[in-house]
Amino acid sequence: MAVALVLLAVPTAASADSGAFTAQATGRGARITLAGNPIPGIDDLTAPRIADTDANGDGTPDCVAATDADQCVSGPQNTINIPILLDVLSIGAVSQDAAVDDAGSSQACSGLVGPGGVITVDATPQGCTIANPRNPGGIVLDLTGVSQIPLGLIRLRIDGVNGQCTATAAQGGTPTASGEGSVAHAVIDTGVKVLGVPIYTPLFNLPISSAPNSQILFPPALSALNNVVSLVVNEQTSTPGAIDVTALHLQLLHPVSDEGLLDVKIGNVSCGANTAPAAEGTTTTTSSSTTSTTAAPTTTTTAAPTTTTTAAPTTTTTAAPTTTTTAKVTTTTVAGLVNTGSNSLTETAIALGFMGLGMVALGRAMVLESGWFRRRR
Amino acid sequence: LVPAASLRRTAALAAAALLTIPLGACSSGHSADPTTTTSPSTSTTLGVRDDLTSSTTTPSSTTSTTATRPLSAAVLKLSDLPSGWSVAPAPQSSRELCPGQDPFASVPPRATADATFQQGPSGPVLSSLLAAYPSAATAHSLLERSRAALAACDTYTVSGVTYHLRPIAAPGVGDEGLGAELSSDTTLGGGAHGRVLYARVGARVATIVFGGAGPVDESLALRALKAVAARL
Repeated sequence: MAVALVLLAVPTAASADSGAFTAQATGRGARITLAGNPIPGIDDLTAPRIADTDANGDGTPDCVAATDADQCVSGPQNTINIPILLDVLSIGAVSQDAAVDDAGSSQACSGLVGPGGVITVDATPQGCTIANPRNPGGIVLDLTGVSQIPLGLIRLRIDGVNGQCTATAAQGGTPTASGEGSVAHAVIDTGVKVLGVPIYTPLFNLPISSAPNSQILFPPALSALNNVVSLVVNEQTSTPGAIDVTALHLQLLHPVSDEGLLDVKIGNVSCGANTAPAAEGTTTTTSSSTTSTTAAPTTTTTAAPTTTTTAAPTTTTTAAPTTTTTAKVTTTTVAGLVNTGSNSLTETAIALGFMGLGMVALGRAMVLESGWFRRRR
Repeated sequence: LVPAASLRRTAALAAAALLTIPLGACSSGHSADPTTTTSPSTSTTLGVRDDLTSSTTTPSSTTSTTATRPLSAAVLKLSDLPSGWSVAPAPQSSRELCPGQDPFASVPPRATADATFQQGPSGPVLSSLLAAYPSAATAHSLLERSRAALAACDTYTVSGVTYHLRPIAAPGVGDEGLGAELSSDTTLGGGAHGRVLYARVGARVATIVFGGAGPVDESLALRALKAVAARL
């Protein structure tokens, strides 16, 4: 009874009513690690482009994108030239951009570019502009040096690698996020040396699927390369209102284990989760004992085995019919007190309360019936 | 499974290797070239260059005031190329024209310098190699050996792909020259295309190798050869 009363007495207010939209997006042309660790020099060179109205994460906008969008953005955008890695991987140049607005929208673009190329976010309509004044960029992996297959000069050439995403938040609506990564061509080249200079010729194209989390596999004649190189196209992970996309995830696997030695993500973008302010004239009430989950927001991407679409433990909703509030609020849930039914804990508490009252009444009736009071007197 | 310590060592070694990657120009000189010590004021005289003893050298090629430059100064530069090119890794030491045909091994130079550039990671690639010989006659013999090698390289197969390296008209640069065209029988992406050009200027030989997958601007090879030859 006492427990039930305490629970009923402590419906806490949420901190979701910042009064403004927040939005965030990140574009990173290349993300490279070696045995799981960032590579000094390279990691700084490939720092992401971040757009965030709420950089400190307190739910209150730190900048106003409408008046000075630059204040909401940090990190490099222009062409970033990446040196050859480990003598086998040549990425060339990447570019990246990200943008937010004051209406809860964010977007990001990134990927390979040719010399002097640049990728920019389009304001209206949303999208990406990839300007390659000369030739499109391409990533080249020298398989001669890594495959230990006696095939002479052989390399993998991949071009048209770009990722993009968008996220929105709407008052009274569900936040959304969508994105996709694309790879135009993946080609196996073979080559000869003329006076020591390698000159390549395309041998065959590798099939590419645009579906999320698709793998590029080497053909049977080169199937041994599948144990050396892992290639995933349009790699995606998402949570409600947020998505992370990598257009091409290349891993040069360790020759004696499945530990990734060189891990390269090209065209990495992430958008959301963006938040909307509480609708005017409505009440936002959230109880730690009434945590409930919302349905995952709509995304344009299709489900895939590795897509993680999790229920949103951080999203709270109110019971009032006219009020729906979502916010970037972390609500600590107590194990055993939360289930997926709506308001189940409150109902449990009320039930316990009535049960307690019933037991008291029953006990009183039994006492009176037994004449215990009379005997005592 | 590989122990974590082993992986860390691997990562450290790989990182160290990465840090040693030269980020600047990849042009290189491979041995001293004694002919480069002559001062420009005396370079118009044939006799001052100890590597110029052959009568086959034409006056026009030896009156260049740049003849005494170090090979490394004459080698192809990024500024010789249109925008969009960048420095590429240096070619490996083997200088075969085609498998088993290495004129430079038959007529070894006493000094070389090279520089290689690419138009994006996928290519095409343009590389220049300069070689200095003791005499113009020796340099001439390199071209003769190269001419013979071209005949042997007419058609050859590597990794299942058939290549052709066939003579074309000499570029007409320097005292004498040699040219060849590379092509492949593959049709995907237009196959391989390339140019190999030689120009001898006195006792020095400039070569240009230019090629890649698909059509390439073949006139660029000639422009590069002229730029280099003018500095020899």
